[in-house]
Amino acid sequence: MNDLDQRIIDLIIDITEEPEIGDYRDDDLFEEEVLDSLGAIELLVSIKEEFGVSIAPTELERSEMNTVNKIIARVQERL
Amino acid sequence: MEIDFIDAVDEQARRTPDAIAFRNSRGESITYAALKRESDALACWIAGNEDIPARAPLVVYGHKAPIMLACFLGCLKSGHAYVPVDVVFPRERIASIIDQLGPTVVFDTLGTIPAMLGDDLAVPCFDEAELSDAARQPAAEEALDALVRVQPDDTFYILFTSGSTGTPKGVQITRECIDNFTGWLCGSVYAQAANGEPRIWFNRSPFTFDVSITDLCAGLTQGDTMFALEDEAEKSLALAFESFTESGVTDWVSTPSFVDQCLADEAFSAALLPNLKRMLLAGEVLRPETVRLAQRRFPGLRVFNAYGPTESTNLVTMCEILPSMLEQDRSLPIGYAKEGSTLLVLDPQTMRPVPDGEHGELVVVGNTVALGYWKREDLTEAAFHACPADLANGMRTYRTGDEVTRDPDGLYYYHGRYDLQIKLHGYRIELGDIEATLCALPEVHMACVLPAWRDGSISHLVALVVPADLDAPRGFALTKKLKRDMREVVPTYMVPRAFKYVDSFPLNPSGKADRKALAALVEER
Repeated sequence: MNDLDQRIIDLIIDITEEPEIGDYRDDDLFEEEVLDSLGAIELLVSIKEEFGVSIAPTELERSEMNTVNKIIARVQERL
Repeated sequence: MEIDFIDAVDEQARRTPDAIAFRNSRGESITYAALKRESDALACWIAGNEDIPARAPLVVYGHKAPIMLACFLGCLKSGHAYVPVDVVFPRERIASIIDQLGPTVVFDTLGTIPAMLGDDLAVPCFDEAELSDAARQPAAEEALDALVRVQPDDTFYILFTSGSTGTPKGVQITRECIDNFTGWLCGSVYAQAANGEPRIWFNRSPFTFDVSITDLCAGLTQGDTMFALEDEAEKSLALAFESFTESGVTDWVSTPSFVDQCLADEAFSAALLPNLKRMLLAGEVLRPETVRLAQRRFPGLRVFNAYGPTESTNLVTMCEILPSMLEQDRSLPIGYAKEGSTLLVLDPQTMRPVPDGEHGELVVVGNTVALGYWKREDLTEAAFHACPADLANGMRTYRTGDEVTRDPDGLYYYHGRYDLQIKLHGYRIELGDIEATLCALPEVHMACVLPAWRDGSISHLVALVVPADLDAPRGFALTKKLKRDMREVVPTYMVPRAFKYVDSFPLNPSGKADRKALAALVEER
């Protein structure tokens, strides 16, 4: 796993308080109640602070950022 | 100066029959004339239907379709209280509500109840097609004349809210409560701010929650238009924003956290909602930052803060948030007491008044206090009969459990709870309700649910769990299983975001889990 992946996973762990989330990178975070809409907004705010990558909450549908892997991909696209 | 809610809504059908009473993000709408016609027809159908027990409270299930409103009014006009049940409630909770009501029927506007409840559905259920048919039958004059609507002392609606032992409890609001509440609200500082101009209200909350009743009382009785988001638009902020552009909303009623959620996107501004003039926020603590940011995005926006328990018809305090309040180094006030209510601040031990400025428990006395909890005399006794008689003046009273102070000028401030009830994103939750649900799962020996705080408000819930089998694996796999099982029983907003596992709980001297010690495991960020 590269450094960027780990930093994003750390952010997700920080918000979800689920230390093992990096082992479940294709789990649907909303389905599993790990993230809710406010949690998702918290995550977008942290991503902006950490990477300077700005993603508006209305820019993405849930299906575009509902797993760890998709979140990593969305950040990579914008770096 | 009460306003008869039912008459006032009917009156709009004569005054402005073609005006839209209610519209949703799917474009479904109903005019005032149709609302009267359909609710009259439904009332006659209900009165003539032998499967519907006379005067029993009736369940209306669904979300934000116009037929919901016609059903509510149809119940009221035929002498029945309505019990709104939103799609946010899961199977077990719906079953518990129907079971507690006793003889009743379900108006299932989505047609999903039989499949959901299966053999547990022991009462008659009418689906959308049957209800629409009934609503379209023209009501005969004699049948209309024979209708007996809910009387002032009768129950108007029953709202089921989280109970501390895992069973929801039904708050019984009378017609008189609603008429008094409507009368006050329509003459309040909030109503005066509109100066008689036509309004379009954002009806945000599910009908199961009292915040949504506030704008129905204020808007439908004055001939305004209500605008609501259907399910899909509620789940996607992008869709919600899209439907806002065509909504024309002038008045916004929601919880502060929904405003925060919208404000997180820069598109939420006067460009999106050019007509938005006023916000009435209630249901949880309003932070100054929320007001400041909202007023930057919507220049000239007037923001009103309000407070009240479901048990005293939605709201008992209100005030406009003025620039001077935002500059003070203290929390924002929840407002002045509404006309018709006396708000006592009592020492929770002695139940005697405390001086202005000192902390105490808020006890509401007055003309909007509920009858009590449906068929729960134990809970009713504790909450509605706790106020000393010399302070009650023969009025109904409700002990809120909220810690407040009152300023000498009559402004009230909220400081928290005396018990384990919390507000998470505007939802009222008893932590004991979640704990009881968790403890009922076979994998769980003991559970304690605690709020996690961020920037002065509750961001999510954390469950601390002692597993039944201390040797079983306890990682994310177990967490996923517990969350899934919980979702069958409680609404998703009651499923904690984080689970932590421990071998035992520290106990306090009375042998209960020491919540203070456990809270140290849930650090503030």
